Formats: sequence, structure tokens, C-alpha cells
Amino acid sequence: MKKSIYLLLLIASTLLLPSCSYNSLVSHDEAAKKAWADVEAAYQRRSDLIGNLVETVKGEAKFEKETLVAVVDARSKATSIQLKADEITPENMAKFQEAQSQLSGALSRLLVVAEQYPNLKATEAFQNLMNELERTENRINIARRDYNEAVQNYNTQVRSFPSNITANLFKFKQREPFKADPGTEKAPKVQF
Amino acid sequence: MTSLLNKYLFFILLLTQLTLQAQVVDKDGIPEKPSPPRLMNDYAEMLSITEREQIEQKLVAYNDSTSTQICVVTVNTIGDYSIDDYAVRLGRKWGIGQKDKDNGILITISKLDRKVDIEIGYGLESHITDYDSKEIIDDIIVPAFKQNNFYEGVNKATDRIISQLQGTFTASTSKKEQDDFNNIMVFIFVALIFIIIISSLFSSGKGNITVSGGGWNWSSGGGSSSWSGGGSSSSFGGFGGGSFGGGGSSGSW
Repeated sequence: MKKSIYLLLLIASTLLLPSCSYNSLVSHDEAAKKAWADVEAAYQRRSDLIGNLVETVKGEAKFEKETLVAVVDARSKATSIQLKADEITPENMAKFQEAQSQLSGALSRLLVVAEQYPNLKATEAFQNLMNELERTENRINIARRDYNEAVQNYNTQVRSFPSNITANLFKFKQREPFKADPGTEKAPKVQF
Repeated sequence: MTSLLNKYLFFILLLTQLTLQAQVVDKDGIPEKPSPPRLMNDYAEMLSITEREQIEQKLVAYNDSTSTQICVVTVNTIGDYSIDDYAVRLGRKWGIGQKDKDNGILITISKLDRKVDIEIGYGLESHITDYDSKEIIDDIIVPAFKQNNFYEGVNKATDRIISQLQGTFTASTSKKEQDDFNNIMVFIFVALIFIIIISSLFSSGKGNITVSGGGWNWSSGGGSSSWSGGGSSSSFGGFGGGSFGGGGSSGSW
């Protein structure tokens, strides 16, 4: 009688162990997805601001057209790469980062050029945009940091025992964090 | 022998100093949450005690009526951090604002670096834009700080934030919250009476009835006193676990 109770307990606990880690895997996975959504939102915000910036600059300064074209191109290229959280493979992530860092570069060049137009710099719309852009670079950095943290938590669980058994069973794959490369990690300076 | 004693004393001194420091900042150099919790934390001692208390009272009263937490922190230095990075870390660590609303605002002032930053919680970003906070810094804080009028700068900046938030969702949500709170209190009250009636019905003999009667008096008194405690503006109840996403502005004087 007593033996059968122990047996029952043993079975129950072996069943319970992976099921507990399953729920926790799901919640870590969801946290990583949510963090990715924040990353996308922050980049989208920047993309919108750059659109406004191009409009403002175009009206005020009739300068080097190619600088503007470069920004517009880089922007459309960056927005064309939309990654869903489940599509993030190392290659896709590399492409995403590459496109965004090219946009950052084009933006920095535009800002350097805009520096030479005092009339433009003096307008309130331009100053407003500069401030928003600066803070959006902040938002991007924070969102990326949060995402990497969420991914790290999730990946740790996917790889560690005993949750790795559940992860294997239910095909929880490791997620891809942002790589810190010199181009993207450093936000372009938008201060004047 | 004496050298051993000296070493021992030195060690003790070092240890106490280390623990003292550990109480103030963590390993990342971000200050620990104040205990008891406060909204005006003048670590760099830029304001007088009365000025400090005046602002604290104002912010606590505002928190009580709207649940929006405006927190002011002055530090001597932010070390190697940029001020916005420092502020986000601090705001998240302390959990300024309510967890489900992220309605915290953090004004960080670094005395020696002469830098100031306003961080706006996620939930308030649409009410105070980056540009609004930039204006508060450029038009109010920086001019006052340049004249060493730190109290004036902090006081007017918080006034401006409060007036800017007037009529936004915070007031209505807080009213709803208060209503919810009242409902809960009524429910607890009714439930208590119910329990007392039931228990007195089931119990037999006079002695038991007087005992439960006494219990009723005590619980009603306890309930009402804690209620009025929550409503009064004398002390700050604590941070709510709100988060920040980088909205706001920063500047230097």
C-alpha cells in the first residue's frame, strides 16, 4: 500500500518536472518575443522620424542631393527587412543589423551636412526632430539590451537540465541575440 | 602583537566602510532604493532640509491623488555613465511609477557633472513628449541652475510636469482606482459583519457573543485607520514597479 503511494508520487513528480519547465519555457519565450516587438517598434519610430527629417531638410536646404538620396535608400532598405520574432536566424539577424547600421551611417552623414545650414538648425521643427532622434537612439539601445537579456534568460533555460529535455521534446530552439558590432552598437551622435 | 591588532582594526574599518557603501550604491554604481521610500532624494545635498520636505510633500500628495510618481534624485556624480543611461537604470531598479501603468517620471541631477535628465515612463510618453521635457530642461531647469537656484528649478519643473499632466488619464484612472479601493473596503466590511453574525449564531452562551462583539469593534477600527492612513499625504507608500523605455530629455547647465 505504502509502496504504491511512493510509486505514484514518483510518477507524478517525473511528469510534473518537465511540465513545470514547459510553462516557464513558454513564458521566457513570450518575454523574448515581446522584447523583440519593442526593438521593432523602436526602429520603426526612428524610421518614421528619419522620414520627417528628410522632408524638413529637403525644404530648407538645397544641398547635396546624394546625401538625401542615400538616406532615403538606406531607410527603404531597412524597412524592407521586417523580421518576425520566429524568423530570427543568425543570417536574418545579420542582414537586419547590417541594414540598420547602414541607415545609421547615412543618417550621421546627413546630420553632418545639415550642420552647415544655420537657418535649418534654427528652426523649431528641426530641433524637435533632433531631440526626438537622439532619444530614439536611446530607446533602440534600451530595447536591444532588454531583448538580449530576455534571449539570454530563455537560451539558458533551453540549454540547462532538466528543462532542456522539455525544450527538445517541444522543439524550443535557441534564439538569436544582437551581436555588438562597432557600426550599430554606437548610436550616431545627433547632438548639436 | 600590536601590528596584528592594527591589522585587525584596519580590516574592521574596511569592512564597515564597505558595508556602508554597499547600502548606498550597488555593484553597477546605481543607488539603492531609499528606505523608507521617498520621492525627493537629495543625495548631493543641493537643497535645504525644508526645501527638500516641501517638494517631497508636493510629490507625495500628487502620487496620492493620481498614482503618478514623480521622483527627483540628486547625486554627486554619475561616474562613467551617460546621464540618460544612468537614469533609466535607476528608474527601473527603483520601479518608479505603477507596474501596470508605467506612469513614473524621474528627474536625475548630477551635481559635479552639471547634468540633468528627465525620464518619462512608457505610460506617459504620449502626454509628455521628448520635446516637452527638453523644453522643461532648457526653459526652466537650466536657467535656474545656472544661478544656483536649485530649489526653484526643481520646484518649477515639477509644477510644470504636474500641470502638463492635468486632465490626462491619470486623474480618471486614479478615481477609478479609489472607487475600486472603496468597493473592496465595503466588501471586507460586509464580509466581516457577515462572519460575525454567522459565528454568533452558531456559538452558544453569552460569553462567546461578547468576545465576538469585541472582535467586531477592533476590526472596524483597524480598517478605518488604515484607510485614512492611505489617504493622508504625510508619507510616501512606496514605488510601484514601473518601467522606462528611454523617453525624455537631458541637458547640462
